[in-house]
Amino acid sequence: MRQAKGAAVDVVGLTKVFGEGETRVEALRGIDMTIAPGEFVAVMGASGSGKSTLLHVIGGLEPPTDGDVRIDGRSLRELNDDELTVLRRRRIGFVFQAFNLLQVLTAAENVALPLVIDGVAESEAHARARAALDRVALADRSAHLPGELSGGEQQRVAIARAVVTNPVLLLVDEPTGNLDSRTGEKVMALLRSLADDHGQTVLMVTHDAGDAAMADRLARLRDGVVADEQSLPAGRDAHELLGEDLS
Amino acid sequence: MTRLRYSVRELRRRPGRTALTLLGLVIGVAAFVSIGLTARTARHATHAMFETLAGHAELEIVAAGGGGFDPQRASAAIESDGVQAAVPVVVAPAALVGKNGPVSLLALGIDPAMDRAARDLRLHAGVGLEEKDGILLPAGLAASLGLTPGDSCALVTPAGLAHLEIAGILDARGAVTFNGGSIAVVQLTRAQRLFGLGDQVNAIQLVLEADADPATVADAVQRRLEPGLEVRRPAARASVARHVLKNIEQPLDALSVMSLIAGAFIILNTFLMSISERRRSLALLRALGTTRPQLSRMLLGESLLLAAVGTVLGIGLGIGAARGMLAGMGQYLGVTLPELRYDSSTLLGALALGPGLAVIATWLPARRAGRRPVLAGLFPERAFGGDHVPRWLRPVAASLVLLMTAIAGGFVAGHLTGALIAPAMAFMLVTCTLSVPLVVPSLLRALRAIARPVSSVGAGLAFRQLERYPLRTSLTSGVLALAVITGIGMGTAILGNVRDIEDWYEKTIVSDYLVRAAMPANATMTSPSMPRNLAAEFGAVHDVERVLPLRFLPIEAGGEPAVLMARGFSANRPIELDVVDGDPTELAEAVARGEAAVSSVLAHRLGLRPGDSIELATPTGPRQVKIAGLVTDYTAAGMLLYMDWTAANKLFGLRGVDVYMVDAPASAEPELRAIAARHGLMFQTNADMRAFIDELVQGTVGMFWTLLVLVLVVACLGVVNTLTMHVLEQRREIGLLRAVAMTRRQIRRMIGAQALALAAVSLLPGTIAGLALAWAMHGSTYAVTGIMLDFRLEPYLVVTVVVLTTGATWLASRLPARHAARMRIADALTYE
Amino acid sequence: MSVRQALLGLLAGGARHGYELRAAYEGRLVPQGRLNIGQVYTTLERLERDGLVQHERVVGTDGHGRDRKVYALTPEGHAELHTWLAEPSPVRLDLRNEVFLKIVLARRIEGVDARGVVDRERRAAFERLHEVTQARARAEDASLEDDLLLDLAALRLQAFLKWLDHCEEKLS
Repeated sequence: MRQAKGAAVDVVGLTKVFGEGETRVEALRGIDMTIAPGEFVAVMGASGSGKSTLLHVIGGLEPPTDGDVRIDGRSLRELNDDELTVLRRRRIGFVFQAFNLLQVLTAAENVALPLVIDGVAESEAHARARAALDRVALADRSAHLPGELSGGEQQRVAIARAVVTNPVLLLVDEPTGNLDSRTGEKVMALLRSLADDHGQTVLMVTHDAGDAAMADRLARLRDGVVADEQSLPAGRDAHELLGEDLS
Repeated sequence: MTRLRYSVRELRRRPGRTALTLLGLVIGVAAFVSIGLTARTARHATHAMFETLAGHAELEIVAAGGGGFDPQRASAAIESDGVQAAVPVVVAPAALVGKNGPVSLLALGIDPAMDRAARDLRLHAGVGLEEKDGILLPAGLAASLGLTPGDSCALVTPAGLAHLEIAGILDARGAVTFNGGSIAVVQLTRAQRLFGLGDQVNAIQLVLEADADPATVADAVQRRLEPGLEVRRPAARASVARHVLKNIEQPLDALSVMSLIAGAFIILNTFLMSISERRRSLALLRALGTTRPQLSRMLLGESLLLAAVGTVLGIGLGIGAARGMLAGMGQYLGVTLPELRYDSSTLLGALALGPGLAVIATWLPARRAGRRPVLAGLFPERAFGGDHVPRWLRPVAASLVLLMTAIAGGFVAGHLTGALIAPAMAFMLVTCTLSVPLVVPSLLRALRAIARPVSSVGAGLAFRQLERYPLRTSLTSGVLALAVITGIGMGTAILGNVRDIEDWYEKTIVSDYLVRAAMPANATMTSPSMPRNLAAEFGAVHDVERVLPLRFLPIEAGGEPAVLMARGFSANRPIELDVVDGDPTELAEAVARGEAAVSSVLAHRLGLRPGDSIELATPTGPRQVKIAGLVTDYTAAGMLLYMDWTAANKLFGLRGVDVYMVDAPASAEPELRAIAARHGLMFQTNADMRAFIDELVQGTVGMFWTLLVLVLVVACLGVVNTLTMHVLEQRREIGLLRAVAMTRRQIRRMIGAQALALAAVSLLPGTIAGLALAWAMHGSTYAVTGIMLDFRLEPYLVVTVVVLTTGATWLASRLPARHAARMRIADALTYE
Repeated sequence: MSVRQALLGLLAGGARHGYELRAAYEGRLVPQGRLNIGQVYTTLERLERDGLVQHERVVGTDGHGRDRKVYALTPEGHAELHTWLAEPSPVRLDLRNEVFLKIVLARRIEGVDARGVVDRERRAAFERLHEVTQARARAEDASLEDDLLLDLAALRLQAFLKWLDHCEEKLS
């Protein structure tokens, strides 16, 4: 079996089947994918292409039917539910489309949650949460409840929570799905800067071409297989781009 | 039709919750029905028993105190208009000596020629009394004793052990079915000899002309009767039983109403949840043009549908349970209860109460659903998740509390009667449950503050979820508090009574040995009598210190049916009774002078005090007896008075002794036993007797505990419902917690913490209200029943109820917790 | 894009000479636009002929001490400019598209996979979009004009990518 050395994520021959008999659905039909540390990978595909399932399996939320996922060298197949939970808690950060925060906790408490559950001392957890909120430029909102924040701010709090544990992998699911385009762009710029400035490995699924184009690499899923994959070269800056002659 | 289909599908979409709600209602209705049917059956059976015995006779002439009288004294009266035939009989309790101890039965002495007018006795085997001066037994009884015509049997009578030849076996029909066939028929003259009546009879049964009105005839007959004689319906013989029954019926009714109320609260809670869960589809219905009244009607329809199913199932279960309870009730009353009687008022009551309470309980949620703005429902993410306690609840609950205090005061002051106890308690509990929302939010906050240093993140989250839904939390904790209040309030009362009963027999049943023909029947408070001369025989045994006689005499005291306990007392000793009021030594002297020691219950009922006179109906007319003092006594539901044997004998002519109370050292026991056996008598040690009473008490108390547990079970169903709802609503959040950080165990503990927090906030107000209820019940006990109890806190009871409630609540959280932990995370995250 | 209106618009901000006008035009006003100085002067002459601009000679202002013509708007010129601003421009569908041509032809030519064409075009478009979005994310201090232009580029590319998805779907 192939194993990429030093990969953050290594997906090998991954298949996932739901249901049986007439309701049997093959959501993933053999996916191979390697993500290097610090890489920002986008997975695109129409709805039903299996992109969300892929994210769930990589995140250990669903067991694979066949094949394996290795996060930082650890095979998910070998972990039981509790070990998976701890892996998610310490090594993976999740950002979902919406309803991403616990409504009864403040921004800072939401961010500190994975640490507190992991047994980190409350004072340290909150210091780290404040630092994470600072990274997403929301330090002044730490005492607010999610209901008092705008959609974009909520998503940024969610991102702060996802990175507060310094995870190996950030899994992002349609991060701008519930946001207007301007706010969405800010969230995407934030994710981009996490990869650029902190070397954060990011795997994002989306159906938005604009979001996907932010990544370093793009995988297109069709009917449960990777139909196309491309690296996106580092670009030019705005001046160069705007001064370029198309004629 | 479409709307009905929609409702049915909504109910079926959540089979678990529908089942739980249904179960809560079913238990409530079943408790109501089973208790109602059992009590009504018992009441009817004791009433009908003597009607059956009297056959066609609708009236009977008896002497006061059930003593004998010369039939000539009624010769003028039986000539009254409307009387077709007058049948003289002797009716006396007796005991047949069987293989396994005495068999209590009623001996009926008849004149075979005259008796046909009243009873139609059919011979199954053997010959009638016209041909042979023997004894007739019902087929069932004869078979159980292994007797056939020609055999001999022994009957314990005041004339001693009578050996009689079985003349015939009777078919089980008409009078022969009395008390499940516990009857023996002998010739009138023979009965007169056996029961020491000479030429007297103790009843003349009157068969009326077909078109005669019993009440008119009774008036006419009574006018022609001498003082000391009375005409009445045969059922009056069981009038003491009415008190006995009422005594246990009232608290049982109260408990059954409580479980119904708990059921109603569960419906309320369920529908509040249901509309919050279905807000989107309900809002869609509104957006599509369903009017508010239509929407409310639809929800009411759903609740009615649920209630109808629950009520029908509950009635079925209740009937089943009643069949089981009937045997226990019969044992308690000392009678064989016939088939269950499908009392229409109980069944109709259940049919009305089940759906009625459901409609009341759904009214608030249905109104809420109609009032919610359409857009807030369609876009719930815009609205704040959670609920709030309606503003009107505060003043309403406050005024209910005031009203409740007034009602409690009314009971304590004695302005309100015992019949109102069940509705008053129901009202009180509803009030307490509705008042819980006033304190729960602050209690939750306080509890969170206290628990903060030791609680986990999960616990913190659990608290906040509860605080987010103050109404639902309050209602659930209201139902839990209901269980706690019931448990502590009723439990304290029950334990108080049990303690008091123990105290009573400690003081009253002091003799070392008791000898009797058979145990008295609770329903009639009559007991087979033994010869009077046995006292000498027992007294002759070496070392016997004393032998005292006791006789239970059903009489009328101050116009109320009561029991006269005629017994011998030792001179120059403090009276061996549970004295409430007065000095035992002085009381003993007064009773020796012929005064009466009256039970506090009877005195209270008649409004009499020590020093007053109580009017007793005697064979020679009404007599005034001075009340020397008040005593506590539980026999015959407290409707009794004690008199010295000699004084009672003078008034009523005591022809036999029901119980011999013998004081003797253990060395005398074998000889005493031998004498008892020779005469076919029951021999009980003091311990035997106490064990017997304990068993009776345990039976009744057991029924109360069972009902209390049922109320707790219903309350726990509410907890399951609420927590399941929390889990469903928190689905996304639980999914998120699972995805982000929490193990299954941590999730389970979080749900468990919610349950424990619910229990904690219910326990505090519940315990306080429960103790208040106990105190109020104690305060009103004397006012309502005349029983004087000492009020005592029962720390063990409080601890038990607290532990039970906490444990049960935690157990109730296991199912939703498991559900939460097993949820597929990916599904939960995308749950709408 | 009319050079005429562009020059009128630039002169609305004050009088300028030809080289200044060219620099402003090529700077931000018409991105990626090229204009030679001859074009500038012919257009100015035409405008002057129509009475929309007028010029005066300024002595020795260029580095070589030669005289220059400095142009300014006449009132008629102002009026013409405002009329143009007030009228909606004709909305062009811009349907002349090379990729469309490739796809249509690929379907007709034996041995060429039209879907392969779509895939390759999409990769190219994504690379472009990546550049644009990256540039946009990084250019925090961009001027409003730059920002608007980057938006235009990004949204056009997204529309184009969406069209390619439709092509793919309809070709299969």
